[in-house]
Amino acid sequence: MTGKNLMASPAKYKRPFDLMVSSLRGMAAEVTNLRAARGRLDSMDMRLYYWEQPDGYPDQINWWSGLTSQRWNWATYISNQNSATSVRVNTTTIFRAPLDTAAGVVNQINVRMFANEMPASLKSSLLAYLQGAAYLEPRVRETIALAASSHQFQWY
Amino acid sequence: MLDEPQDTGCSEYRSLARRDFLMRGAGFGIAALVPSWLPNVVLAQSSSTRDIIVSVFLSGGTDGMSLVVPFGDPNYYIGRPTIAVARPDAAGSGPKAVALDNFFGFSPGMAPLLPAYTAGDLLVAHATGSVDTSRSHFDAQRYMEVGKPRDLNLATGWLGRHLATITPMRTNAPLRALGLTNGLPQTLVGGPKTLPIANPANFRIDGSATTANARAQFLATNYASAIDPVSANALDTTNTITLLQTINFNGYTTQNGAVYPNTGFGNALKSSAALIKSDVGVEAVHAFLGGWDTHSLQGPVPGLDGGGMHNRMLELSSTLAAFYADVIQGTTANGVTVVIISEFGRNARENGDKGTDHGRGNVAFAMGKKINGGRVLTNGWPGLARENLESGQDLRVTLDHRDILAEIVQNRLGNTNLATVFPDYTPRVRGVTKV
Repeated sequence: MTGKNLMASPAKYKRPFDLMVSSLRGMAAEVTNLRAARGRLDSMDMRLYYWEQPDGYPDQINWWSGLTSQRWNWATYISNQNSATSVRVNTTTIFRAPLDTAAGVVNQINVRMFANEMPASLKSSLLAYLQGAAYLEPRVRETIALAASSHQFQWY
Repeated sequence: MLDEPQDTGCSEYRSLARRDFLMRGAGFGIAALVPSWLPNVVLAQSSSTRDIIVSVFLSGGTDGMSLVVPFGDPNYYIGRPTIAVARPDAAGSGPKAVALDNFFGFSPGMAPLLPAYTAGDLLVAHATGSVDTSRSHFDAQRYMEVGKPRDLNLATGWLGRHLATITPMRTNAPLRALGLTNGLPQTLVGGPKTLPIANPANFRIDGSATTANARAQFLATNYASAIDPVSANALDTTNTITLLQTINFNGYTTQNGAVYPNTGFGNALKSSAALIKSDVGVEAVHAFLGGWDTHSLQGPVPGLDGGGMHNRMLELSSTLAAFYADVIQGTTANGVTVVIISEFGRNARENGDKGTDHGRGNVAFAMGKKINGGRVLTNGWPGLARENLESGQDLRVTLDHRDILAEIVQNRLGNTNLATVFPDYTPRVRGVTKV
């Protein structure tokens, strides 16, 4: 497996577990206790070890792609976590630095969550959303949630 | 099985390199909605006489001979010395079957369905099932759901293909079908405007109500440039969220005194009832009820080995009885037909653990005002004597389940494209529906 092979491999739609892990990584979440977040995984219909059949959850896009609202709600949930005892997405150090501006936050989303490959259209629409209201913490977290909800974030 | 030899990266995605993917966008969209598998069929036209269908899959392989007891076959009692359901005329005060005719009877747990049966609105089909002989839950369920046995390449479901080959009941309906399920059931795959919605009462975008519309708009715009099925699903989702907010699921009032059990299945069908009565264009609902894989301590009657299967039958029958009173006897804009199948039946003889193992022939049910019910339909009872059993152990399948489904699809759902809905199969008319 070379880097070239990897780059040429087909994009895969993240199953809920994949989405959970990539969201936690992309948001640099500080995880102390994942129990509540795992509960949200259940509501994305991928309760760990609960697929009754011995062959695991389906690996088909048709099975998962209809669960759109659950994925969006996951992104909203996880981006709003700010608990020292369970999960914290620290916007101050991760997204609102080094530049505590709308453009700075979107740039950090690009770097952290999209490996600096966020399409320009998504970048501009996130920026427009963030600038569409007062630059406050809830708006920042909503913007992060929208980035994690975007269709571009659903693949790996 | 559900995991076909294809992965999440289906052929459409395999053509996209990872890096290319992020850079592409507007070129893919709603225009890609026409399913490539759809042959050149003439879409059946919508008709006001079309029924809405509620499809229930009893996963786990239900023991049809415990649901509907062939008490007229003496070999039933020979093969099941400890778990058979007693004849209706058996002596004593213990639980007995409730006679449907002079040969078959409901288990006590199915008795709540007697009113629908005696009214002629419930058809029981026996010794039915798939021609595929697999005793694997996964293979058998898959073949049942896709509507074609032994074809691993067919990815769409029979109900999905029905929806794809008939005009919508209501033009511009945002939601034509839903699975009350975790993930889209195979039965519905391929259906346009079809979503898995485990709980319709709770289908929304979380977060601040103040910004909900703005966020929904952002996502709708964003997903317009996604590829299908992701784009189509997102569009359906945003439209469906708006639609479902107009329906009062939690305050839904049933008709005719119907009381749904407060269980997952009971609540699923209650939500279905609210959705159907709201008349928003939903034309197919699919639900599962599991827990039928009764290898040990089956307990088909109360008080026997914990009565596990009896309780499961009660959940099924009480829910369907409530749905019958509420919806089928209630007021709806369209008629409603319910169909209930399972992947296979179970062995004719009990095993050493007071249970039954995977078998073949089974029961199926169809319910509705235009169902030719009040009888047990067989294609000749094959008998339970050892020499009559399939592989020496199972009730033979003498009635292909697709005959039941196809007749409903054609006569109640108004779709004549049976060759697409059930490929490579010529259904036989069994008199499932009323003329």
